[in-house]
Amino acid sequence: MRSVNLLPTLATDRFRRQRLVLTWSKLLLCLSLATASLIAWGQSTATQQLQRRDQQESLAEHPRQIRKQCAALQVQLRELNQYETVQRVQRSQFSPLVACQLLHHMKAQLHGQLQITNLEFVDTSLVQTIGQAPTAGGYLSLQLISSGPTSCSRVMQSIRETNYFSDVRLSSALEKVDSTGTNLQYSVRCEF
Amino acid sequence: MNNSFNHFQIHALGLCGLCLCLVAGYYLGLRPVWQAQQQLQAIASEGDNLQSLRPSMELELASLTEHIAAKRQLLAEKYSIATADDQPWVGIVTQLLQQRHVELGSLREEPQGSEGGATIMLQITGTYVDLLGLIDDLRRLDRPARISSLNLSPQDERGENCSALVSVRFFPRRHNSPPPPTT
Repeated sequence: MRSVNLLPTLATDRFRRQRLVLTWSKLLLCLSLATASLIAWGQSTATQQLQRRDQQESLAEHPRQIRKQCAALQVQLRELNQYETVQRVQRSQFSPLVACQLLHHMKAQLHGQLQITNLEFVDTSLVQTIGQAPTAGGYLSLQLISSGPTSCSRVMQSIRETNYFSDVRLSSALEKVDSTGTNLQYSVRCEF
Repeated sequence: MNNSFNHFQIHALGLCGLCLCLVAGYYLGLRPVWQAQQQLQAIASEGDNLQSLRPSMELELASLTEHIAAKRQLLAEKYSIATADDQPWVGIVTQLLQQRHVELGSLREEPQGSEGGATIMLQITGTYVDLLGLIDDLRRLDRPARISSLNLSPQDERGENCSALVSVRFFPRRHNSPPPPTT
């Protein structure tokens, strides 16, 4: 049996359009609901995760502060070291007090047989710019009187044994202080 | 022709709506979750790392604090004679001479040129102990002073009183203050 569509063509098209609109409307409605649910879930999950992130961040705050303090202290230590270096470079490398202490010690060793008539200390080391190694340089010139050549030799030996000086030498002749006594006067130059 | 255009329009509108829903779902639903997840992972990873380093950092902090305090104390003991920022060199020297009861014969100041600072030549007399004390004081000033030369001669047989010619180079205060402590 053959079916025959008796509806006019225009009516058929209108019914088709209505069905199409209805189908799309249902589909879009379902999709909108699904999207709305997805957005609601997404926002809620994201908020929860952001809260957890804030918690984690607050937990890490204390160690982060410690790390920051360590960095600041390291900078301060570096500055202090630099300050100390500058001070060391600018002040005398070899103190005249060391020479005085040395002479005091030698006088005690020689039981008063050594007399110092003059001490000259000259520091010729150059002041380097910051960061460069300082170079010590200069000399100590001593005018001494001791009781005989043996004492003079002991004095020279004692000065050499201190290892403070790169060179120790007699810078004048050994001369008698007076014609009757045995005391000798002489000069010693010690380079540092 | 008119009917087929209407069908096309309905399909186009439907597809537009579909796309809109998908885009909205991605940008408002999935993407924030993904971004928050990434941030959380990054923070958690950094936090774990910091927590694992915390004991060693605490030890380092304590060690650094101790080291800095010791160094400050050492410097304060080494350079213990304080001077005012605006105190002139001559003022500092005369103050030290007075403290050590050393008699001043003459004082001459030579400016150091572009580098700043000054060299002071002193002719002084006093006991051996006081003169050495003065030299020690010069080395303990909180601003650097360099003893360029010293000529020391005894004035009596026992060598208790001496005369000395001292040349001291003073450096300017700038760059010569220790860094302030971190709060």
